[in-house]
Amino acid sequence: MKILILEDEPVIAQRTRRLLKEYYQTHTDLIQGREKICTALEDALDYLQENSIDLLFLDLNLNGKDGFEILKQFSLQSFHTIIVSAYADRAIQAFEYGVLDFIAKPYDKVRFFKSLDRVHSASLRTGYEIKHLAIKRQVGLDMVACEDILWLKSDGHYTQLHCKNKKQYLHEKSIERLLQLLPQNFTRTHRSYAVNLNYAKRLNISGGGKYALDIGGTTIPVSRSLVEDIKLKMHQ
Amino acid sequence: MPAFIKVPLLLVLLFFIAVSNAWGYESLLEQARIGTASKVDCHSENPDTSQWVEGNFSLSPGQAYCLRVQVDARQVRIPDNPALIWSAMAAAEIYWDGAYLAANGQPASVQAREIPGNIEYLTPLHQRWLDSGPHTLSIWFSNHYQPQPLHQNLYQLALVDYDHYQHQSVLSYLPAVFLAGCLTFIALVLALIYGLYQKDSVIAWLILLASSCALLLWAESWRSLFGYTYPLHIIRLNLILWLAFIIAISLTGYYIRLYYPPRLWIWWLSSMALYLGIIITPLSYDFKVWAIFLLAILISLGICLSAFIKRKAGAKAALIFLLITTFLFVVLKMRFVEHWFAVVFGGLVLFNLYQLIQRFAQDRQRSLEADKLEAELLRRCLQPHFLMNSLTLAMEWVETDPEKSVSFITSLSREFQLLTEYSRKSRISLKDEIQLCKNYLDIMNARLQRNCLLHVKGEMASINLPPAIIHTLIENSFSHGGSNDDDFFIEISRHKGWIRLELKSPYGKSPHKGLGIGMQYIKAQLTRAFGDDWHMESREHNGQWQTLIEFPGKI
Repeated sequence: MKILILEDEPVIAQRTRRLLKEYYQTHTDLIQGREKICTALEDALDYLQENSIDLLFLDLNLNGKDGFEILKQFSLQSFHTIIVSAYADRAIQAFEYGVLDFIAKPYDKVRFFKSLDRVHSASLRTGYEIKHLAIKRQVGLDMVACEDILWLKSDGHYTQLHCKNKKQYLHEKSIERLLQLLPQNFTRTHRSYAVNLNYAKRLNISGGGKYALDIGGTTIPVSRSLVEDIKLKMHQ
Repeated sequence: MPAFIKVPLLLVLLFFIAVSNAWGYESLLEQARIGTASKVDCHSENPDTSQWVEGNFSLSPGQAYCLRVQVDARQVRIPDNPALIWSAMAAAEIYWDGAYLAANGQPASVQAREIPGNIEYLTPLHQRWLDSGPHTLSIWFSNHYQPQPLHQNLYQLALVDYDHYQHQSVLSYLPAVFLAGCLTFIALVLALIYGLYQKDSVIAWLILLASSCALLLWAESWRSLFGYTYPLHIIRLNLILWLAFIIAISLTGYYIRLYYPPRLWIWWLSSMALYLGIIITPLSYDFKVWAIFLLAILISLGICLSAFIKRKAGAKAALIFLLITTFLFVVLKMRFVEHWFAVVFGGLVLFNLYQLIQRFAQDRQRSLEADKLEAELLRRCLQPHFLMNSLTLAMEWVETDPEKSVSFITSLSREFQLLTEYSRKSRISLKDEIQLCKNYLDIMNARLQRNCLLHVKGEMASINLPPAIIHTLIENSFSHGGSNDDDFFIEISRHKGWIRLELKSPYGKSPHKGLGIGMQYIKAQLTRAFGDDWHMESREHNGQWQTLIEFPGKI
């Protein structure tokens, strides 16, 4: 786990680092984190040019710069972002940009650890159900309504999003990470596929015992190992 | 158009209608011959009038007189409904061509038998009595009840139109009564404001001015309204004279209070002595009243002129007002003294009432503004970025370095205590302000792990300024990312009674965007404290952000 901490106040950055170390010391079974601290936005951007990371701890107010401008630069990237901010009232807005969690300052160990648990769990979802998913465009970004997304397909490190209106988008996050952000009705069906269960009409079995879901006229393969899980979810 | 202009304009119009109405009035007083005679001789066909004199003059009290005048219908204009108006300090019996016409009271050669007549007496004449030929009007009158000699005993003897005269007298007192009512009401309103809201002596002078003007108008209208017997005339004249005196002292008192409060009594007493000087002269009542008004206007004009030269607030408007008053006084002469003064001074009172209400609105605005600034300052120190980050720090040190956390929490609580205390004040001493800034720097140094200092150069004793001005500038410097380790410098200097504060702060990385909330706060506070008398400019210089603030040292 490569972790970047972007925080302009050194003591708070140290706190984040200290709690991270403590977390990984108590969770030896997990891939251990390695932290890097940047106190200025420019330094962080430089660092990201050279390095790929898995997780970003982001302060929304860096030397007087507006946090959401910073957020737009990071939230669409392949890594997960956790906001650590004094402005708790802007949490909902932050989630809409696709952050994994929002930790309000001041934060204690319990709250911080809970956030890290989310990072390491495929099933724990964010506390907030997003209505939209931010998607990068050539200029700026699009907010795609989650209810319009039919299914997702892995595409290298990226993920294709297939929508109701036949539109397709490419998201820089992996399918695993996107599922951590999307609402409960999105579920994995296959190593490379995930679907919006609201559009799942029936589970078909073809010759040879292969399972598939019909989502808006498209057949999505279902792994044998996930069939029971999907059946359960479809009947909920 | 605001009401304070409309109302006086309306009154002026009413007055214009009242005084400009041309009407038939044939005075007989100028040709009349007056002398002492018995009642029989007075009304006889050919009395001996060789010792008699023509015209109007002072008659000694306590005697019976005879007045005779020839009326020739071919030489005078005879009105449709002829009537005789007689106004004099006397009881009188009126004969027309030797025949009894009317009696106003009962004249007599001794006081015991006299019944005083009314000061004004109107009696109709038959049209046929005025037919052709010269007629003789003889009036036998006595003035036993007149207490002292007057410059004039006979006021009117004239041929008038009966209906027109009555109509005219209504027209002449109606605006005065209306105006008196208005002034009484204004005086009451002002008295309520004085009693319940603000015990300001300016208001007290205005109450005195408005109520004395109202009383003078009532006294002037009394004659046309109710009439009275002639002995009361002296009382009324004295009343008018003393009311004019009160109007004069309240007018001058008002202007002295407005522009020269410390020397009020000396000025006021000397002007009062001048008015009293006029009262004790042996001049006629009308002339004394006229002179008192003239003097009061001139003294007020002098006060306002001097205030205008010294550039006192509002002196220009007052001066213009008094110049108009002086002009009206010169143009209208006695008519000014009778009624117009009330229009003019009523305008003055209304104008001041207007200014007063404006001041109330301003006061309200100011107190709202003060509340707003206080709330703004407190809100700024409760701003999440400052508060939550500081609390995160406290939390971290509680867990890792309790000693550090205690000292940090102490600085933090001190910051809140000071800001809560200072935000309520309109001014604090520069020393307190510097203290507040140093405490704030302690917090920021802890947060940013730096060691920025605030250096003060210059004498800061006896300088007061609105709270958190420099604090806001330093805060701004941090929130704009002054990220190098430079110190802050304040230079205090004085120049021609002005205080000059120059703050040099490390130049931030992010741009200073126009009017930040902090800058708005500083400007609002400086305006609240110094009006337009302050100056502030900011610029980047040699990698520093320099802010210069100048304001008067003494207000």
